[in-house]
This record gives sequence, C-alpha cells and structure tokens, in this order.
Amino acid sequence: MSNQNTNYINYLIDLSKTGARRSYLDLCEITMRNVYTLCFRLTLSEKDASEVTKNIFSNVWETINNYTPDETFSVWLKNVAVRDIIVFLHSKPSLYEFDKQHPLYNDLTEFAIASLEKEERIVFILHDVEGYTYKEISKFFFDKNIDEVISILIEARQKMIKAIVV
Amino acid sequence: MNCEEVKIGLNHFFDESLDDNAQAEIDEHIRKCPHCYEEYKKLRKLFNTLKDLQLSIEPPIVIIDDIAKNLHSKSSKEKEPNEVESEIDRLKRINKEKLKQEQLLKTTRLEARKKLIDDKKGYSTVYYNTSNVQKRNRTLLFLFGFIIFSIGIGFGYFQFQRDNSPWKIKSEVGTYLINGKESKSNKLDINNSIQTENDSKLIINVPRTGTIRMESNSTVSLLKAKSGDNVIYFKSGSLKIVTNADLPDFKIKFTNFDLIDYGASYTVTFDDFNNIDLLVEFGYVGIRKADSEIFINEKYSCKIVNRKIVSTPFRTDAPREFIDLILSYEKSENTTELLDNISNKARPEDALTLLELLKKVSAVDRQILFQSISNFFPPPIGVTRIGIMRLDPDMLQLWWEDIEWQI
Repeated sequence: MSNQNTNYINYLIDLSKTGARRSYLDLCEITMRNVYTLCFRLTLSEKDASEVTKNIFSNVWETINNYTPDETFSVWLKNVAVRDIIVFLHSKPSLYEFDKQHPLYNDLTEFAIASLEKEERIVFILHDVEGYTYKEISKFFFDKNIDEVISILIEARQKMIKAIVV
Repeated sequence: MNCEEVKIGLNHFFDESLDDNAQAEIDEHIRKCPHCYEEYKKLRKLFNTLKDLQLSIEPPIVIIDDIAKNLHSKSSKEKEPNEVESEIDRLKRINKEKLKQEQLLKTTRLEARKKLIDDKKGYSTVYYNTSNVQKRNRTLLFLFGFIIFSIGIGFGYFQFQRDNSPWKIKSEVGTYLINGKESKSNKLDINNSIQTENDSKLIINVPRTGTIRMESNSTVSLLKAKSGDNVIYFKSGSLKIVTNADLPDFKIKFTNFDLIDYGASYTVTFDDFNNIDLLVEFGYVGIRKADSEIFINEKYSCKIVNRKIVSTPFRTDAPREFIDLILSYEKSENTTELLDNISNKARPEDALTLLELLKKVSAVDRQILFQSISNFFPPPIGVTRIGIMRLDPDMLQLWWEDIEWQI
C-alpha cells in the first residue's frame, strides 16, 4: 500500500499508545465514518452499527500498541473492524432487515445490497465495494476457501444484476 | 472458451485477475457472441452503478460520547500532549483530517482493485478445476447444448450475425445524395457515401450500436459494417452520434486519427477552418493516433486543429474567455503570461483541464499550473510536487481521480 498516514494521524497514534484518551478520541472521530459505514452496510441497522462501532473502537484502544506503520492506520483499523463485524454477524440470527427509517433505504443499489443473503452481502461488500481480494476475504471467514468465496461473489453479483440492471 | 466458461471468467475479467491470454480469449469471445456480450454489459453496468454508491455514511454523534465514557471507565490515568491546541484549531484540524480520510478511502478502494492480480491462483483453481459438482454438471449440459447448436447453425451464422449492412436511413427533412446522386433508397451499403444538402437532415441507424444524426451539408462514407467493427469516414459537416455499446464498436475515421466510441453521446463538427470540434455529452470518446489515445470525458469538449493537433480538453460549461485562452495555448509564444491568464480565469471545475494542460507545458510553466491546481485541490496523499514536475503517470492519475471525484 503506497498510502502513508498523515503526520497528524501518526502524532495521534503515538499519543494514544501512551494512554492519551483525548488524542485517541480525536483519532476515533477522524476515522469513525469509514468504520461506521462498513458496520451499517453489513448490519443494516443503525442501532447494531452504532453498537459494533463502539465495540470496535473500545477494542482498538486496548490493542493500539499492536499497530505498526507497515500499513496505513485506516487499513489496519478496517481489518480489525471486518473481523469484529463478522463475529458479531455470526452471533446474530440470520434474518436481517434494512432499517426502513434510514435515508439509504430509498437508494436502489443500497437496497439491493441489503437484500442479499448474509454471506453474499459480506463477500460482495468486502470485494466489490471495499476492494478486498478473494484471499483476504477467505482469511476473514475461517470456514471458507477462496473457491467458495468466488462462488458466493458470483452468485451475489447475479442477484445484484437482477435487482438493479435487468 | 465456451459461453459458460466465459460467464464465470467475465467476473475475473472485471476484477483484472486474469492473465493476458485468458483476458484476450474472453475479449475475443464477447465480440463474437451476442449472448455473452449482453452478460458483459450487465456486469459492466453493475460496476458502474457501484461507482455511484455513497462513499461513507455519517455516524450518529452520540457514538463518540459513548466511547469516551467507555474509555474513562477503563483507564484511570489521563495523559495528554504537552502542546495543547485551542479547541477551534483542534476541530479545524479534525475536519481536515476527516476529508483526507474520505479521499484515502477512495484511493484505497482503487488500489485494492488493482491488487486483485494476486488472486490469479484462486481464479485458475475455480476456473479449470471446478470442484463444485453442480457447476460441472451445468457446464457439461451447456457444452452438449452448445455442440448441437454449433452443428445446426454453424460458423456462417456468426458471420451473418456480425454483418449488419445495409444501414437504414431515415430522412428528417429534405433529400440526400448517395454516391453523388439523389436517392430515395433508405439503405446505406458498404463503400457508399451519403451526403445531406443545404436543407436536409437525416438519421442513420447503426444496428445494435446506436444512431448517427447527419446535419445539413454533411458527408459520410460507410467503410465497415460488422457488429463490433463499424467504421465510417467523416468528410464534412456535423454529426451527432448516440451509441449504447460499451465496447469500442464504432469508429469514425479521419486522415490522421480515429475517434473511438466507448458508448457515448457526442457531436463532431467541422468548423469553417476545417478544424474539428468534439463535444461529449455522455460517456467518453477516445481520440486514437498511431501511438497514443486521448480520452474525452462526458461534459468535456476539445478542438482538433488542422485535423492533427488535439487541444487540451475543456469543460463544455467553461466561460468562453477561458476556452479561448486554452485553445490559444498551442499557438502562443509567450506561454508564461498566457498560463498566468489561464490560471486567473480557471474555476475549481476547470482543474482537470489545468491538469491536462500541465502535461504539455515546459518544466517552468508546470510550476505555475501545479500551484493553480493545488489551490483548488491540494495533491492527495501519494502525490508530490516533484512527482508531478517529472510527470509521473501514477501520480497524475491519482490526482486526476481525486479531483474528478470532487468535481
């Protein structure tokens, strides 16, 4: 990854590692949008997305010392978030419904993504929206190999085409 | 490669996770097979739709308060930086960093897509060694059907399918000439030329591709009429072309270059001095010369001077004064003064025009344009002044994408 953290992000990370809460909260505020977006698209509920986002940032506070600048903080954080969200989704019943009050409910593409099966939605969002590779996605899942991830993705794309293209 | 293989392979085609040979095989197949071409178009449309997906969603503000409470209960000792900023400075800085994170998110997504090449191994496993029984059965069934189909219809069918001449002509006003003679035929055959008169206009239907609207006093010759390979020679007048093809199916030939259609709606007009004006309303069009191709995006226009020199593309809604300055650059001697003028007249929406112009100017003038563009859109992470000064193609592309997204 050619992107580097900005100096300010590095500064906040260094302070957070020493236990500076306020600096860490600034870091949360800067990076939260991306994490929350991912949580919302995967959980389909504002309540669940908020809950998972809070848990992710609380966990990262305890593990931030594990972060090394080999990758950008946002990429590292997103990887942590994906792992936490998948654990959360596995712990919930398989039936998910899009929050009808949310403004995105009226967006055709968002609605089509939300209508995918849970695993299809995860794979589709991670691959086609977030840009993860098949290999990276299979690692997140533990119980899926690359071939299975590809099959799920192809199935999800076909459903998306039916919903928004045909 | 058969259709079922192509159907699966198309997914990897878009992920850019195929080797060159497989990519070429699929490319060749979808040009010949209308069914697979339809599949290709659907997938392409899906990915185009995803580009418009909202980049991020604003989280509820209470989350940060809840995290703060949570942290407070976990940590007993508060450590803070030695240099404490004012609250306003802190908020300003946080907002600026948030914007950078948004930009980073977009860049990361683009880069990650390029990284998919690592998946080649995974691709070949699923593609050539289908462990999934259901998929194998479907493939065998399809293969059987395909063989029967091939025997029945044969190779000639495809050739027949590809040949789409004659093209239908529909007169809107007045009469027209075919090969110099007044004609009432509503068909245009290969190697025939068609000419509208002072008071006539017509529409030519290009099968499975789109339409060509010929304004008065225009002349066109039909050189090739095959699906996937339609070529006309445009001699004079004005044409409006609307195509719905996503592959380069349609080409307008000129003496020194070709206009390649990538699924667009655009107008091509000869002016009084034999220069060509190209205005793209939707989609994009390529201007292909012997060794290079310039892409003109929707809502951009350019002039091809003396049918040879392609001007810097500019937005169709740019002020006339700005457009004149851009067009005068190619023949100007005092370029530094002209660039100062261009910079002063440019609006933030014209940043991509400035970026294109930057590629043409001297190293000294490049500094002026770099500063002007930076004033509108600071270079994103990964783009440096030195890199832009030496015209690093990756950095130019990164900056271009960053600006395009914001415009």
